[in-house]
Amino acid sequence: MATYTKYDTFIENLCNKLIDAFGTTDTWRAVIHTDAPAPTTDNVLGDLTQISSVNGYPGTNDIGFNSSRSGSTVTATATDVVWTASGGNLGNSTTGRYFSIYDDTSAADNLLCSFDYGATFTVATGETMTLDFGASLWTMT
Amino acid sequence: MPHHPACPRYPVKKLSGLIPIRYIEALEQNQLIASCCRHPENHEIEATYSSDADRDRGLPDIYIFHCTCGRMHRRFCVGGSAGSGPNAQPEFRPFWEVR
Repeated sequence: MATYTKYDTFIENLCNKLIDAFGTTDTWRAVIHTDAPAPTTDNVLGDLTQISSVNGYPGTNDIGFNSSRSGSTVTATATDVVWTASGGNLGNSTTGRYFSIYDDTSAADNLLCSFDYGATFTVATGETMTLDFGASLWTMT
Repeated sequence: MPHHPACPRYPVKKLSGLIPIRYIEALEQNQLIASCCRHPENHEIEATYSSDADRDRGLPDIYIFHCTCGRMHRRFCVGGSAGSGPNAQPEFRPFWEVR
């Protein structure tokens, strides 16, 4: 139950119809970054400092986002993301720490939430990092 | 902020039935890793908490598989977090003690 940090602008962007968080209309992606999220001001992917797109880190990863409604609750699910380092440290990085989710379909790549690994990590060649979304990414009532 | 240890490093094969099968299958089916890494039954596993809040909840959210070759395979569990709502059910998280 890693700490879930919602970007404040997520709700605004949802209400402004900049993003679509229902069903599979929009494509949502995960990124690894080194800078701590600023949930009150960060709004788009460009506000984050990602690890480099090398050595098994493609820059972004589709999380297979989907959501559905039951009664008055919408539940979002996602498929685990597995990064495998190849040819060097994943993203040529020893300072990755945060994971964020954003809407790749929106014109500005608007952010949804972030998770803090709690410490910097290095994924060496042949090692893996899995982002496990479990049974649900979030619920909204 | 360092991680807090939750469960000590211990052989996976001695925890059979406790480790979710999808954790095991994810390694077995990953063709991008070394052949030894695709045999998690030969690995050791440890669990940690990423934060004070997770430690207080008592649910580990980081599992690290240690292969005999020295490589590590990390799983960061972010689903069903507190931010998912007050009624969200936490995912099952394996927990063990060594005495």
